Amino acid sequence: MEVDMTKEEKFKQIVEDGLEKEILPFLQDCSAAERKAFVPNLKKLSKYYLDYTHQNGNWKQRGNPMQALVLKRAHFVCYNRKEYESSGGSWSVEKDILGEILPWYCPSWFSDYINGFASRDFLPTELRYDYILLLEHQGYLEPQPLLIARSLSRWIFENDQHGNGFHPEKLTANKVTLEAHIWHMFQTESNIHAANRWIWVDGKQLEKGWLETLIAHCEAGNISRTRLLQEAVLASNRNFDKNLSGWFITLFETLQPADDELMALQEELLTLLSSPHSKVVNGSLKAIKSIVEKNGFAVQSFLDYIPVLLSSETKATVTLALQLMEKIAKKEKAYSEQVALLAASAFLQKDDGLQTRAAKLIQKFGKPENPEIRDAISLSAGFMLSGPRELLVSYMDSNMQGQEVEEQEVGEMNLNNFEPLTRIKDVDELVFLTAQLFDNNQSWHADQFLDAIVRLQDTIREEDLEKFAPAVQRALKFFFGDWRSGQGIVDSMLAGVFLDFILLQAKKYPTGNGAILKLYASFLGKSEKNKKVWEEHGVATTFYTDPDKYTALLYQPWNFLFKGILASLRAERERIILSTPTHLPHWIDPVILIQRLSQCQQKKLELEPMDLQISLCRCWLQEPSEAIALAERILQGELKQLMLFLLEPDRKPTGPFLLQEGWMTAALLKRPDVLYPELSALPYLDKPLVVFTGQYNWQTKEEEYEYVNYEWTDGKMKDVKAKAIRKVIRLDFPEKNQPKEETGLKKIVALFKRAKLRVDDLPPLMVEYMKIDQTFLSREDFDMRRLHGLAPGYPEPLMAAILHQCLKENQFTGETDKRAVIALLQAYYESLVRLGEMGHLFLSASLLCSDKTAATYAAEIWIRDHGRLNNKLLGEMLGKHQRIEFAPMKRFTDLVVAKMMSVSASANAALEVLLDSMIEQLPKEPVRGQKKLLEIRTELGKQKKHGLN
Amino acid sequence: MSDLITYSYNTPSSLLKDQQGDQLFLSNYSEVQKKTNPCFFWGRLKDPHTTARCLIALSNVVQSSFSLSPFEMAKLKDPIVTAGNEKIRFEGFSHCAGVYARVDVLPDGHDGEFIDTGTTNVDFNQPMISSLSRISKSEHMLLSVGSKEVSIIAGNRKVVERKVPLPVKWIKGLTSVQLFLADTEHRFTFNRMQALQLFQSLPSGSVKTDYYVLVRGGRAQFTPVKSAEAVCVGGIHRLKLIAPLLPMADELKVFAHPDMQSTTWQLYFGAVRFSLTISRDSWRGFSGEGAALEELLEDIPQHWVDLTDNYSYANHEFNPTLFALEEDIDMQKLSSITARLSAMGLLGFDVDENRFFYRQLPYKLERILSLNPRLKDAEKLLEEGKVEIVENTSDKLEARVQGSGVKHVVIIEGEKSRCTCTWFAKHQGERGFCKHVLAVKKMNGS
Repeated sequence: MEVDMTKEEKFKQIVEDGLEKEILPFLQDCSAAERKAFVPNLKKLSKYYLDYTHQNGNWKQRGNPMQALVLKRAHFVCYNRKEYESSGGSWSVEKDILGEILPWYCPSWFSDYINGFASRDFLPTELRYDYILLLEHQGYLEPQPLLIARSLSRWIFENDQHGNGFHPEKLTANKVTLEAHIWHMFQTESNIHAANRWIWVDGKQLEKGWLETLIAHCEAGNISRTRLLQEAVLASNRNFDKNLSGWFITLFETLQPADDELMALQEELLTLLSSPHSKVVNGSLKAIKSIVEKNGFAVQSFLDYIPVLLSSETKATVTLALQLMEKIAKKEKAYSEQVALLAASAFLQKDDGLQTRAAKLIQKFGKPENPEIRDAISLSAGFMLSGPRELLVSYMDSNMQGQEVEEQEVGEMNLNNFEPLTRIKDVDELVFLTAQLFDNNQSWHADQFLDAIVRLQDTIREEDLEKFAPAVQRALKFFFGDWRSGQGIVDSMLAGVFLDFILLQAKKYPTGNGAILKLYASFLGKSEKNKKVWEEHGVATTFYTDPDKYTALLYQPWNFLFKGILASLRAERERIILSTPTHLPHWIDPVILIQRLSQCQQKKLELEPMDLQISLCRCWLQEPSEAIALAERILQGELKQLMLFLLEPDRKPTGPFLLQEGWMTAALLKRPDVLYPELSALPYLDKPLVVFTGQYNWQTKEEEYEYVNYEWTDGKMKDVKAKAIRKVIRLDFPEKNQPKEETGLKKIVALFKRAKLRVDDLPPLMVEYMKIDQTFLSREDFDMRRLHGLAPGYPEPLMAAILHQCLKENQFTGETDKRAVIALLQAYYESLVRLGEMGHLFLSASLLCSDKTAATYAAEIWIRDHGRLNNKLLGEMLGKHQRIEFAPMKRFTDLVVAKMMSVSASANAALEVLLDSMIEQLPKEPVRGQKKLLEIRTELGKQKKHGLN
Repeated sequence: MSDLITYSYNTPSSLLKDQQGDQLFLSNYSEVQKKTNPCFFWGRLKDPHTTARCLIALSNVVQSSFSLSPFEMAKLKDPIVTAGNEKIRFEGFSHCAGVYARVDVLPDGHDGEFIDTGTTNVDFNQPMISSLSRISKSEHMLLSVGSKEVSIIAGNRKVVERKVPLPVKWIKGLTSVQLFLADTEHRFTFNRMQALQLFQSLPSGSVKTDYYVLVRGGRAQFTPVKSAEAVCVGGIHRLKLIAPLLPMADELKVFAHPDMQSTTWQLYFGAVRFSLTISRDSWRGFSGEGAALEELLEDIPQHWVDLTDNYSYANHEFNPTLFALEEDIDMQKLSSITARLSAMGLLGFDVDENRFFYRQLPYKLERILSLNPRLKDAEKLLEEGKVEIVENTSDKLEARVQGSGVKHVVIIEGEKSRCTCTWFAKHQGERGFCKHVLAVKKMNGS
């Protein structure tokens, strides 16, 4: 309908002039249709006057306060509910406006609108209980129970005028409050338990609340005690959250119900037993304890809940349930066999005390010949500790008394355990590999890619170039900062390598590179600086850059490898990559490596030092005979000597030693603990050996540290330095790589040899880069499998670095550290190599770490490798950590009970060695939790004695 | 079609108590049902305690969310019930559509009459769910799905109307998950003690690492270590939803998808079953999985829908062979019939019986077909002429498909399809085909 223009104009004028007193009479005179017709204009005016703009250095509403008031009134009268809520009505209730308008205009949606506030997190302060009653009384509102409950729950803490107080007496002001409304707080998710949490009266936090109020009114006879008890029980089992449910059961307990009251409520109390909240269950059990022996107690109904109760994770629940079961069995013989039968469920608990109690119940009330009991015990036999088991021998068949557990086979040291890595066979495959190259889908994709571009570069035709466009687009986006979770630093480096590789290809085909170059141009053109570079250099632009200073150390091996390969491609120099894995994830078959080396020799190709080192570190050394024979046959000179030295266990190094990095790496791989005198002249040995082996000295100690505290003094925030003690595992890194001291004739000979052999530009040793020189990790966690894959046969330097970075304290500092440790444990688990001392230390710290997944991984490594780990050493390390209570002992004992115990006879034997060695290191004054550790050790001894696994 | 859906219940569902016992009345609504609020089932539940616990667990599933924003959480998702063939099945999804739960009350689990058959939404309001907690083992309980007599609800009459955004994820999930269920294989059976022990090894908190089910030394446990043929469970914390039911269950069976894209955990309580199916990861909903997409490439004849609708009854086994004979469909295409019909929301799958059963989702068919954006996007690519076949031989189909700023390469060789787009790069076909592959397949009629 068309609106009279004068009214429209008048409306606009009232708003623009902020005529607060005129707006309501004006709107009251308008018909509903006229008000509706104002809406488009009202929206425009609101947008303009209520918008915040930057004025004189401050953000302010464009309109003045009077204009805002006029608009708010108009909103309520003209808008529908959705429009009103989006104009700010969803946040607050304008009581003054409502008071002026409701007598002549109450929209049909008003009641629902007000009730809608109840289900939001925050109930507006204006919606006081008395105001709701008023609106109801005036006929504007039909309050829902939740709205009443939420407003009532805070009403006794509200002063009549303003501020907070404590006024339980207000509840008697309206009859309906205590008769009906109060129960809404028991039936809906009100805030009754926490309504007094932030209430301060006279400068003190209020201690009293609804608990005291309800009890006082009950004692005064204002509330029915019977109903209060019943509602409290029912409310504690209404799927409310833990705190609210717990509060209701506390209320019930505080009322101290008498036995007859409990008997009347037994049905309700029983249903509490399936509550997910232990406080509610225990509250119910305590109440039932008083009446369980009374005549008329529903024993069978209670016994129906026993399986749920005995599987509880709360020890107190299980203890109480067993107590009550005993009472029932003692009192009523008819139930004694059933009690005994049900008690078998308690063997799932790993606590010796609980199991023993259950076993005694069975012993006392169950007949050994009862087949049902025998069946139940047979099902539980696998979970029983030796003490309870001894008690129940007569209930078991002989085959249950010592269960044989299959020994887990440790993975054979065989390269065939690993899947062969397929090589990229043509350009199409390369296209699809590059499309996912930066997704970190597999840790070996980088190797596959490098191998493919070197082999297939000449097979890429002009028309193939465009196929790489999607990958180029992704690489460019990534290069310019479109990073996604899961992508590591290697992915960034790969993007650079790939872009440079494609530019090289584009250069070859000036006519077919249009689409590709357009992409490069469009991305580079996004900034003036890039645009300039692009215009100047075009396809000569390089994208690959050295890793930044924060990640320089750890990523140098790839940096050398990538740069070397790009240099070969640019120089169009033939290249054979030695380090491409042959088996997943990163192993190289030594036979294939020898073939690659032989090809290099035949073609007289120069070996890249880093490529050679990575290839040696990835070489599978467990089955060398075929490779030895092949090396004898097809390799020549120093390479032949080097490979034979690496592969033959007893072979000594034989010069010349020109491939210094190769000899040093081979020696470390072969025996990290041995210094071959033949190699003493290698200049690397200027540095302490631990720099290469990662076998640093270490200690677990308490150390003082300083931190900054913020204190509010004299109206100002001040930094105050404070001191505290922390428990840490410290690795002893040699300072500034001091040279190893030699004496006497050895010193003179070594000096002479080094002077002769030393080269200025000494090829870097890859294992030396396995260090982290930064405060926090950035994306290394996503690269951890690839970092481990650089030297899967030599993981200890990396383990030392990650231990120092992420595991030196018993809590992780963040998700990145946690992920890094888990990824390294995963990578190691899949590698099947033996661990040295640093590996044992890494494992010991992982067993004590705060993340359950990481600790479980460490436990799984122990379970698989317990036969080839040094359990005495591992136990000693754990003991050294725990003698200063580096981590809560419970963390370790829980892990042992849940994962490491009773896996097999051999694992139990290994665990005994580990625990003995650990206990030996513990101080005479027992540390917290040591008792449980000793109990486990005793249990192992008993199991061994009885031939149990 | 509106993207809003209006659930209109004649009255709220409620649990009423009188001297004879409890009466659980479930109010129903379906936008496709032919009669106005029919009564599907009316009768006694033989194990009301267990059934009530299972319904609470189902309610916990539909209220849970493992990856969504509060806005998404606000959408209403009432479970659906299928009554017929002596079975009552309640199905529901989590908000994030990554957890699917179903309660089956089998013929021995009730003593009542199926007045009508069909599938319907039922109102699962919080007061009703809360009151289910108090059902004890010794109680008698009547269940009424829909109102048999007006008098039952007379004292509580109030029309409940809730207009909510169409729960797209939910409906898509309900169609997709059936295909995953159909592919699952039975892997483990645990008795109650073993099941409880297995769940004792559940890690606490929200877990990001994959876990595996392992039986070692006779003990079942979850471990983060992958072993050969192990059942992989991503977002394992979601399994806590069934933990409260374990102490009551006779046994637990674990079913796994061969590619570990989903796992199903089925609990048995006599004549009541509860199954929980979780997606590959907590951030992945079944709705986003493209398992059904390929099956929807070809238009589905309307008379298939009519045929299944006319000749099938709720919860009856669906026999694809019979259907093929009836429709004279090439027997070689038999396997795709069930997939196509379940993708349209016409079939559910029972892993225990290892067969499809008929149940038409209570949503308009047009809605279901319009819910697959990847399929719609593929069709748009074709409409805009952005697909170009460059090679088409008997063993290779190669195409270029215009993407944003680049042309993607799509190569289809036999069963193997590949694309250079980001979606394919990330998921490698595990989550269904990308729109580019779908467009090429559709263009080629394969």
